[in-house]
Amino acid sequence: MKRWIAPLVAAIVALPVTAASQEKIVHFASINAQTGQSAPYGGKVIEGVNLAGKAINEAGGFTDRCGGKYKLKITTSDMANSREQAVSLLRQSAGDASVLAVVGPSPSTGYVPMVPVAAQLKVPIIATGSAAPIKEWNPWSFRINTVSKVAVPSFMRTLESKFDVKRIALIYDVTQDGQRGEAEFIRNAAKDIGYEVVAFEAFRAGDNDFGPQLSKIKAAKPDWIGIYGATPELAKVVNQMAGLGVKAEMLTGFGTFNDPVAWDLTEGKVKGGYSWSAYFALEDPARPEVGKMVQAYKKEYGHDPTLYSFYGWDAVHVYVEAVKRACTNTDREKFRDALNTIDNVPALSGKATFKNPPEGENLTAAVIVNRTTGRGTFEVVK
Amino acid sequence: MSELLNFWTPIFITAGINSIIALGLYITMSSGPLSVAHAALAGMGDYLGAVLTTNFGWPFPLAIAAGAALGFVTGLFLGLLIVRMNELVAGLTTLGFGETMAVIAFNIDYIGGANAFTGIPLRTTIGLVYAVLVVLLFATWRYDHSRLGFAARATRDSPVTAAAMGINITWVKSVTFGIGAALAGLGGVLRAHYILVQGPEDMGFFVSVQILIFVVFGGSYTFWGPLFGAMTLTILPELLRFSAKDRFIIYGILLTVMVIIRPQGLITRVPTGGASRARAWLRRSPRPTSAPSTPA
Repeated sequence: MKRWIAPLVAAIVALPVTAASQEKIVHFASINAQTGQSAPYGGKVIEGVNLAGKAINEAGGFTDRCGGKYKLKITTSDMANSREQAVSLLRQSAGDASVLAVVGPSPSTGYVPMVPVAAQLKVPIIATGSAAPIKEWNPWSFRINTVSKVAVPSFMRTLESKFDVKRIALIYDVTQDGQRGEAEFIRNAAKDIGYEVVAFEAFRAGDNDFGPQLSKIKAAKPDWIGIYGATPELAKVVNQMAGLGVKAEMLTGFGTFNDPVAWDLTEGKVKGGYSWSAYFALEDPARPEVGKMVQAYKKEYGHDPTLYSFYGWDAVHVYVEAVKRACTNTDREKFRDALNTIDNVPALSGKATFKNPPEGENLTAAVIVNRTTGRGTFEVVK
Repeated sequence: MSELLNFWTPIFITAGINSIIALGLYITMSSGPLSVAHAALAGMGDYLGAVLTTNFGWPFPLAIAAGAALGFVTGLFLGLLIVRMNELVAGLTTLGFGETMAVIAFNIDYIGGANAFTGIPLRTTIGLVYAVLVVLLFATWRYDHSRLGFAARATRDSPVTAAAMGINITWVKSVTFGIGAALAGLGGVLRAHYILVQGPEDMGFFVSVQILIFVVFGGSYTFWGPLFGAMTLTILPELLRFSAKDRFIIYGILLTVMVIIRPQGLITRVPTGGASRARAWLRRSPRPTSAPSTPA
């Protein structure tokens, strides 16, 4: 009997060691802007990504559909809002065989040039906030966040059905690809939805005088004005509209009217403006997972998350879901195919659905139509 | 080893392309003009080369030649335009030119406008970049020792004296601007076929200033200066990646310190006094003395 005891004890001791050695590591490279002008967004995505990785690992990792156990490894690199660095970092990540996929950047400056390179290197990548239109999608590129292309038709249909929109004037920042893209989507959707674009005026970031554009808009007598620019320029346009006596309902994208800075810069003139935004809340009784993440985030970083933190968190969870379906931590093609089976998977910022080709957009990203009611406050229209 | 190669290859490609564009600015500045238009000139080459290969299926070498030719013609024109201006006004004119080109690019839908021109095929390799760089370094070395090179430096140092010596200032300034712009255009074509995207913001003021920093940091009096500046300042931020958030602060401090202690650039032909100080130091050091010979 005694001679069995030693091997038995050894086997029991070795059991967890064996189990641990069977646990695989899934390596995601996270490339975003930690420095430069997009750092306020990129930094939040990185925090969301890292928190998601930490939470998953602390919960013991995850198990795929084939019974394989995994833990996450996330390496972060700064692209500094530079195209060159974004592409270089993607090439470096793709060259590392242990990297299964890349959590891509929030600035379009990085994501747009990464899209063709991802196809060339056959490495999956997912954007976490980039809004610029992608001219040529490929099966390796995805985007978790809500973009104008998905949001604008829904937004405009809601406004049309509720307020019978007829004549729209658009004024947009020609130097911001996301803002310009949104204005173009509204112009292009006019016929389908049933309104007319009576003016389409451009300006540049940093401009101060919008008089010529607004005079043309006033002469066109629109009943709605779409203003597409970053908060400082948007505020200047709104202020000068009041000065010139241009009266029309206002609309914009990305929830910019709800930005407290927009309220302050316009002294409240953005009140009553309509915009669309992605889902974001610090507390939502109907969704306890939101509050749970927010608390963990505050504990980890000492400040509140933003929508971009949600995107980072969601990107990691969608990737983990794809690993569970693909049963691999190395086969990028299998992983990419599994991403395309993601259908209505719950995410903090809404839901995720991918059907690529033809495009890598999240087809079920949340779109909330809202009306600004005060400084940083709004009511949901739909 | 392969991981190391994966990491450094893209960085060295970017450093090589930056060196080519910086060499272009060195040639332009060798006759005096301060150019803040080289990002725009590189960007024009970028766009032209990208459109030719992507939309018209031109062979890559022809696209490179076209980018360089466009740069040369534009540079020649700019050189003629600023030849009689003082340094400040000439610099502002090149700045205006660069910004105008960026605004035009923003508004041409055919080249993507603000959304950038995409779909460019990958043609640039590390071998090609360094082959081109070696050829251009040799050509720049020959230029430095050519009649044009001497005339350019004479024009930069004292245009009045140079003119009195019979040098055609207008010709020298415009041709050197053209050659420098051709190199920038060539570098731009290589960059477009590596990054695979070309946007208007790549032509703006800040990119031009970055190229200028390469030249000023390395030294604008010898072609080794821009090469060293572009290589060092492209690679340095990568070496500082251990401190992701602070690396550009460290980079900025290093740059400031270098400009303060060595305003003429790290590599220079201008006498810095180092050699004479070394000679004086050697003279002061004790020498072995031989004992006086005593008469027998």
